[in-house]
Amino acid sequence: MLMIVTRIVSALSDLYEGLRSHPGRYTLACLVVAIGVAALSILMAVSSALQLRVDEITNEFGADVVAVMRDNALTGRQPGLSTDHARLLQVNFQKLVTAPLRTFKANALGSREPVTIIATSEDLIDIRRWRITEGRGLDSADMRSHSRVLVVSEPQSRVAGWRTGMVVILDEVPFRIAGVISVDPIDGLPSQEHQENGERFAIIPWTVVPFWHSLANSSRLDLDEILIRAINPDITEKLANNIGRLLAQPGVGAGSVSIVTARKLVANISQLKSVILIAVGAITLMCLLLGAASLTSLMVLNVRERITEIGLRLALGATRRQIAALFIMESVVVTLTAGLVGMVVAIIVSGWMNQWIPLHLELEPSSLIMPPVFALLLGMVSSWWPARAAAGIAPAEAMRVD
Amino acid sequence: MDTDSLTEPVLNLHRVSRSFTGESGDVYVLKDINLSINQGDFVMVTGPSGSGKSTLLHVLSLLLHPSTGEVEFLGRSLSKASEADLGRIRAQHLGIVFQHYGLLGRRSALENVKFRFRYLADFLGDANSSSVEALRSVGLEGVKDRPARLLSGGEKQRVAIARAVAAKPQLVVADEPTGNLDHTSALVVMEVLAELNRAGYTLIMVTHNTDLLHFASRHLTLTNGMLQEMQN
Repeated sequence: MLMIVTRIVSALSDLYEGLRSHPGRYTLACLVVAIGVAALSILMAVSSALQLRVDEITNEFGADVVAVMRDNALTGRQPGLSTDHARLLQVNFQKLVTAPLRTFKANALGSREPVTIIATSEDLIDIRRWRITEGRGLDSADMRSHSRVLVVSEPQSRVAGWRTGMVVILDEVPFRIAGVISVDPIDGLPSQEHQENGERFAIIPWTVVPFWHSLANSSRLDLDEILIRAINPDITEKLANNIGRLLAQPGVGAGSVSIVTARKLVANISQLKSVILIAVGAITLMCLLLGAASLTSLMVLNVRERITEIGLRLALGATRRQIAALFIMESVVVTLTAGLVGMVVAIIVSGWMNQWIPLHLELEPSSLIMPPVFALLLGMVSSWWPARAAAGIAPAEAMRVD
Repeated sequence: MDTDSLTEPVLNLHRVSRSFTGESGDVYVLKDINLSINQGDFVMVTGPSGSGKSTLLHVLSLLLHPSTGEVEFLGRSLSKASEADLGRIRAQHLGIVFQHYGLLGRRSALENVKFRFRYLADFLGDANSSSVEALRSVGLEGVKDRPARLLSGGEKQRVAIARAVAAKPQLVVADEPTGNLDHTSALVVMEVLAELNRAGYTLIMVTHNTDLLHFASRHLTLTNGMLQEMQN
C-alpha cells in the first residue's frame, strides 16, 4: 500500500515538475484547447437545441398542416390576407379543415396586462392538436351565432385565475369562458419555453370580432394566417403548391403571403443548423488543431530540453514505456484541464446565450462528457510523436549531453 | 551491500568489442577487451580523447550492448538480456555518476538523491532515510533542502555520488566525475569516492586526470580501443 502511494506521489511529482518547466506555454496551449472544447460543447448544445426545435415544430405545427402567412412587410392599408381568402380556400378544398387566425391584444377588466386574443374558427384546436383540459372548445354554433365565448390557454387560466363558466370583460364587452386548453407538445412533456414563458392567450370565434372590435367590418377580417390541414402528411407539399397557385390567381388579392409547411420550416432550420455547424465547427476545429499543434511543438521542445533527464531515468531503470508515458501524461493533464475549463466556460456561455437567443441551450451529458473525452484523445495524439521520440533516445547518448 | 565476499568478481568482460557504423563502414571503438572487476576494487580507466573510454564506461554501466563478446554481471551472462532486464539490473545493482551530474535543477539535493529509488520497485528500505544517509556520507546533509541548481559544481557532483550509492549498489561507475571541477573540488570528490571504496563499494571511474591515480587500486589505460592493465 505504502509502495503504491509512494509511486503515485512520485508520478504526480514528475508531472508537476514537467508542467512547471514551461508554465506560460502550457497555460497558453491549455487556453487554446479550452476555447476549442467550449466551442465544441456549445456547438453540440446548439445542434441538439435546433434538433429539439425541429421536433417541436413537427409536433406542434403538424406534418400535415399548411400555413398561409401574411408577409410582415404588409401593412393594414395594403391588400392582404382576410377571411374572404379563408372562405375561398374552404370552398376549393372542401374536404380539408381550415382555420383563419388573427392575433391582437385586448384589455381585460381587473388585469394590468392586455390579453392576447386569437380570433379563429372552431377547427384551430383540432389543427394545432391542442388538448381541451376543461370545459369545451369553440364549435360551429359559436361561429354561426357570433357567441361571445372564450377558450383560454392553461397558462392564461393559471395566471389570471380564469375558470370555465366565468365571465370576463374584454374591452368593455363580457365574454364567457367555455373551456381551457393545454398547448403542451403532443408527447405530453411540457417544453421549456412553455414552462418558462407560458403561451398566455385566449381564442374567440372570429365571427364575433366585427360586432365587438374595430379591427373588422361586418363581414371581413384581416388575418395573420390561415391554417389548413391536409388529409395525410404525404400530400402536404402538393396541397401547399395548389394553395399557392390559387391565391396567386388574378383578382384573388391575397397580397404577399408565404405558404409554409412543417417540412419547409424544418428545411430552413436544418439549413441554419448546417451554417452554424460549419461556421462554429470550423472555428472549433481550428482552435483544437492550433492547441494540438502548439502542444506538440511544446512537447518536442520539452523532450529536447530534458534529454539528460530522460537519459538519467533510463540509466536508473526506467523502461521506454515509462518514458513515453511521462510525456503523454503531461500532455493529457494539460488537455484534460483544458477540457474541464472548457466545460465550465461552455456552461457559463450557454447560460448567458439562453438570455439572448430564441433557443434553449441545454448541455446534455453527451455535450459535457464528449469534449473532455475528445480533449483526452487530443492530448494523447498531440504527445504521441514527441513521447515516441523521447522513448527512443539512447541513454548512453543522452548522458553525453551537457 | 555484501562486504563479506570482497574478492568475488562483480563484472566480467570476455572478448568484448563494440563497433559503430560510419560512412566508411564499421568502426571498432572497443577491441577484444577482457576485464574482471572484483568486489572492493577501485578501478581507474585513463586514456586519450577518442580512445573509447566513454564507450567502455557505457558497456560497463550496461547502457550499451557490446557488438561481440560477453558481459557477465554478478555471475550472470547478459548476452541475451533484454533492455528491460538491463534496466532492472541497473536499478538494483548499479550506481552511475555522470560527468555533467545529471541532477534535476529545480529539485532539492535530497529529492535528487531520492530520485534514485524512482524506478526501484522492490527496494525494501526507507528511501528517505537512505537518501539522507547517502547525503551524510558525502558531507552534504546540511544542504539537503537546497535546490540542486543553487549548489556549487563540487556539491552537485557529491549529490550525484550520493544518488549513485543511496541504494547500496554492487558497482559504482563514474564517468569523468571531476571533469567539470576545479582542483580543490576534484580532490574533495575523490576523497568521497575513496572513502566509499574503503567502506566496501566497488568503483570504476573514467578520467583524463592522471594526478588522481593514487586514489585507485587498479589502473587501466585504453588506447585505440585496446585495454591494458598498468601496475600502480
